[in-house]
Order: sequence, then structure tokens, then C-alpha cells
Amino acid sequence: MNRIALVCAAIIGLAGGIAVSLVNSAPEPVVLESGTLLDPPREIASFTLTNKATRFDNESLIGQWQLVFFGFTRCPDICPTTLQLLVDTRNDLSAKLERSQLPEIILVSVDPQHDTPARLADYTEFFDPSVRGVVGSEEELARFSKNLGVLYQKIPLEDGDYTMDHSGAVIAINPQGEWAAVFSPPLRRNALVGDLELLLGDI
Amino acid sequence: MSLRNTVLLTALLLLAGCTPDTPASVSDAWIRLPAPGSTNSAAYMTINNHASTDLVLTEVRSPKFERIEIHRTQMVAGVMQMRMVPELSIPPSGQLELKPGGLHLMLMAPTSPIAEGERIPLTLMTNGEPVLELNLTVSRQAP
Repeated sequence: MNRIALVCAAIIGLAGGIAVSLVNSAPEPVVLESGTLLDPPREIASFTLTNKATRFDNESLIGQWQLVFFGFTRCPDICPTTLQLLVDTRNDLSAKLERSQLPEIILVSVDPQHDTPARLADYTEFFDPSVRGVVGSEEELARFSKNLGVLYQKIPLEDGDYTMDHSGAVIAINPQGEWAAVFSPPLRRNALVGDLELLLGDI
Repeated sequence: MSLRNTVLLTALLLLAGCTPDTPASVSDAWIRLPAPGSTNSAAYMTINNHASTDLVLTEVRSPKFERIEIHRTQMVAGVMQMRMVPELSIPPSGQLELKPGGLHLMLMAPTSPIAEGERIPLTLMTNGEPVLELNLTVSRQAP
């Protein structure tokens, strides 16, 4: 009899323990299929860049999710491919998320020597009028990209011209202006839409 | 077979691109419409080699562009690099895909503005000899 009571007590105790641990455990973190979540999100150090003729800084990132890609207008392959993918992804998300949850798309030029704010604006407008083109001084661009773990490098060519090597990653910045996730190439539309629906719909 | 029928049959075979003499063919070809502010564009296609020997393409020409180079976009340690490739080699009875984010033809310095829907002639060459004469349509996305 005593033995049965002991066993019952043990079972009840165990069940109670499990219940308590379930209640106490943190909410299930979002698991991304095609990207990496920064948990907790990382603060972005102060920077000052330019979008068209206006100042673009930490404040400009607040209030909405941002998808940031680094590239340059003379890049004929991966930059237009990625920008179009981001615009298509945003369109897909518009059927799944509230308007306020949709991300803004930002192209940061790593080629300030060629990409003036006006030229960049013409370029981004082509993909979607909502895409923002951002550029700045060499120093500010270096600071901003380093902050987000993004690398780029000018590569001289034989004919005296140059090309730019640059990170192919897409950086997700949350509405608090913090670096929240990074998506690395090769980027696939369906996986990206699925991941962003989880991430952006989670607020 | 009458002359007329022979001509017809030859025309049909040529249209189908399957005459025994056709060493190579191209499918899914298109040119990306460059965004304003960008002077560079890219051409994509699948090249099919029907011959029993390697098909090596060393040069591409078009009256529309001053310079065309064979390029490859590749990722090295998370960084996208675009580098010139000296030639394209397609194995016997094989195919090679030129697609966004990979191999492509980089089209530089257009002689006139590029319009959506425009058809642009392109000649794929081997050692100065034309191998394939193409007409590619300019579009925003892969057709």
C-alpha cells in the first residue's frame, strides 16, 4: 500500500514538474529555413547615409521591417536578380500579412564613386517605387556595412575600370531598428516568403 | 521528291533545328532589361551541343554592344564575385545553362538605348568563326 502511494506521489510530482517547466519555458523561437536569426537582435551603431536628397540614419529604420541588400547599379546579374526577388517576395507577402507588417526594401550602394543618390533613385524606381536607394561617403558606408557583417571590396580590372565584390546577403532589420536576421544566398523565393511570414507576422 | 518538297522539308528541318548538320542550338534565351542608370546588361540561355565533340565558345558579338564578355557570378565565403571566364565549353550531346546568379554574358556599352521587347542579334563564336546566330528578346524577367 505504502509502495503504491509512493509510486503515485512520484508520478504526480513528475507530472507537476513537467507542467511547471512547460509554463516557465520561453515561447518557442522562430526557426528560419533559409536564414539565421539573431537572438537577441543586435543594435546598429549610429550612421548617416543619403536617400535621394534626404538624410538616412538610424531613425529611418524605425517603424517597419526593412530588407537591406548591398549592391551597385553597374552590376548586371546578381543585383537586379536579388532586387526583383525582394520585390516579388514583398508582393507574395502582401497576401499573407497586414500592410503595416510588410517590409521596406533598401538597396545600399557599395559604389559611391559611380552611384550618385539621383542615379540610384532612377535605378531603384525601376524595380518598384517603394524601393529606397541609399548611398554615402566611403567612411559611412564602411561603418554601416561593418555593423551588419557585410563585406565589399573594389576590384581593379585590366582596362582601368573596376568591379565590386559584395556580400550577397539580405539583412532583416526589425521595426525597432535592430539587426534581426540574415538571409544568405542562394536566395529562394518560396523559402524567403515562408521565413518572412513567420518573422514579420510574429510582432 | 520534287524540288518544292525538298525545299519545304529542308525549311521544316531548319525550323525544328534538328538537321544532322546543326552542331548546336539555344533555348530559353533572353536579355535582361537594364534599369535606368545601369549601362550593363546580361544575356541568359541554355546552349545545347548536338555534336560528338566538345563545343567551345570563345567570343560573343553583337552590333548593339561595343563589348561582350563571358562572366560568372560566384559566391566565395559569402561574398558575391563577378569574374570573366575565358570560354564556355559544352560536352558532346550536353548542355550548359547560363542563368541569373551564375554564368552569363555581360553586355556592355550599348550603341543605343535598350527597350523592353526589343530583339537583339547576338553571334556566338569559336576562334573567330560564327557558330550560332541568335535573336534575343529583351525582358524584365525570365520568360
